[in-house]
Amino acid sequence: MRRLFIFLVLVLCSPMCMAVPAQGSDPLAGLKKFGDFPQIDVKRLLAGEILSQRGSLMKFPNGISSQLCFAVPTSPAETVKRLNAWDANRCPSLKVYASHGLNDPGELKDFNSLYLYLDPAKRPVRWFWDQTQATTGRSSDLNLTQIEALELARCVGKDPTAKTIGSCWGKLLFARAAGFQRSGFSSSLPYEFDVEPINPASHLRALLLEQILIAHEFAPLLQAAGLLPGGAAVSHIRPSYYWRLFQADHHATFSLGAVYLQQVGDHYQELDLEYYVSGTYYASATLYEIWPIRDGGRTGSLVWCNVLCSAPVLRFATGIERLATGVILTLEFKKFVRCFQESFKTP
Amino acid sequence: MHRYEGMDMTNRFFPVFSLVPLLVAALLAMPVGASAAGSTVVSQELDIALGYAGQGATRFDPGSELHAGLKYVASPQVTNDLLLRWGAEWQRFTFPAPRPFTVPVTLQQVNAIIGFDYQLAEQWLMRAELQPGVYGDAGLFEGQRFDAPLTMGFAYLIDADLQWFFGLRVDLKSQYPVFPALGVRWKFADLWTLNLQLPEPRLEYDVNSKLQAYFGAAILAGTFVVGDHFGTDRNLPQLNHATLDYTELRLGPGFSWKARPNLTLEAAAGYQLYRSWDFFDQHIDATGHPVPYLQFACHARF
Repeated sequence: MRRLFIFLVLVLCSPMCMAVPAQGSDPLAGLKKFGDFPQIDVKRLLAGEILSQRGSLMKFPNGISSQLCFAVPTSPAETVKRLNAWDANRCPSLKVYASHGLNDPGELKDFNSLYLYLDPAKRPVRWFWDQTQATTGRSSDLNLTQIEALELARCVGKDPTAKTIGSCWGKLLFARAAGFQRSGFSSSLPYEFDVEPINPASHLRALLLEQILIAHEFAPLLQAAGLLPGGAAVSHIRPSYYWRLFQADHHATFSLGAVYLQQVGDHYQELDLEYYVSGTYYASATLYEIWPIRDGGRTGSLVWCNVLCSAPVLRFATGIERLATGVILTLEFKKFVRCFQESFKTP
Repeated sequence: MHRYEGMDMTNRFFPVFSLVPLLVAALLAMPVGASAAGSTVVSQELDIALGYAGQGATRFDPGSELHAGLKYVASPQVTNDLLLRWGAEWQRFTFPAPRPFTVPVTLQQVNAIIGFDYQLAEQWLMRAELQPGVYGDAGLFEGQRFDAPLTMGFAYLIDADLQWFFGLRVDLKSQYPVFPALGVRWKFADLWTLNLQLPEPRLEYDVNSKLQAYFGAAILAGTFVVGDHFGTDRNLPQLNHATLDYTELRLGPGFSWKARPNLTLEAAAGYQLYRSWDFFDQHIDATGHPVPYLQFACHARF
């Protein structure tokens, strides 16, 4: 069955991935092709309503997904610009400590400020300190290779300061980011302290196999990211890169990400990929499609987004726990959307 | 991401033995069945509990109690919002002598589990579970001991840290045929969770990612029908084939250790503050004084 899915993805995506929808495409018709929202009332969306839908339970045991649809009062180009420049730090409920862009190619100095956010007085950061200090070459609760763990343990030493921990993690993140910038997922290192080694790229591909229609819709971006074959054909799509420090399940967590963007006729597609996460979960991908909409005299953008996530805690979550997990992911993602919408009300 | 043990709406105190071969066979068969089906997502739960309560203070108190239980549930997905639940359960309480005159040596149940989990609305989930089976004393399969209690639970999810629960247990044979309950799970600090869900309300502390300490209560309860000669043997013929509500309240600390990603082991100790064997139809009620207890449990997920 898995081979059949792979075959279907390849067959569906390869010949059509370069197809560009016609100018002035109908967003509602387009969305119905791959989204989970059969009924969309643009008037209500422009009034602030957020549609949300927990994704189907996945056969991939670590996987979960959720879809949202909302509107903002700016053009798609402006919406994309704001989305990528948006500072989530300004919304405390999102618990993002820091978010910084990376140069391409990246430099170690991109991570110089990292230590400023590692205040051990904050309990989630304290947890991160504890896990970092407890890391040895043979064991760690963090997403690391054995070599990374050994180097981290040596670097941090016995009595570290925030500057030491920041510097050690800066080197580790820089190495991961540089590898990804150089050769994408082909240089991606596994997480070796789980029950079995985890490859984030494999997990992301497994998530996409569960959503073939969406994978088809976003094929060029997924190819550019190396998650579908045929990347050479879309080499013009160049990502931007970032690192983030935020709270996930009450744990301070680093992530490295890449954002792929393309304009398709009158609308935009974006892929925000977390190709490395320091702990709590493995990887995530958020897909956005942003169309222009009009209702009477009001104009704006219709934003559809789909978040895919792979996490260890889901592996053995049973029955209602998986339903609940999906609902909670949706609710948490909705907080993000509300904050983003709020940002349009302030200059 | 989030921790989801707060969403566990299962009763973890369903103890066990005669069904072991059947359940193990079912357990071994399930992955094959799921694999053969190909498109069916099936999750499985196995809960085992074993406990002992120490000697009472007086000659006429129940001297001790052995408690054992086994519960197996398979949960196949039917639609995106609906998961079925089916399985079996065995639970047994043994009260060795000395014990109150009207207390049976054994109370036990063997029942099937038929139910479902369903997403009612964006933030609402529900579980309904019917437990048809026999609920009696040592001679479990003698006489009419069939009962089919129904448990319904509703969860209202606010966010990752706060969820409300509303429950209802319907057992037409019990003195209280309808028993409502309200609960909440609130992770109010990074390491602390107030998990007030019946039958095991707890205050939990995360020692690390694998070990959790807690202090809480546990309620073990059930409605059973004793044997046809139970009363005659005690010169109380009105207790022949009588219905008994058994209730037990425990209080104490415990530890929960995630030994493997799919295996959690628990150990708890404390005091049984209250025990009651209530033949409510006959107005004969025996109670026990507080006694210490020790309980072990194992929760496996597949």
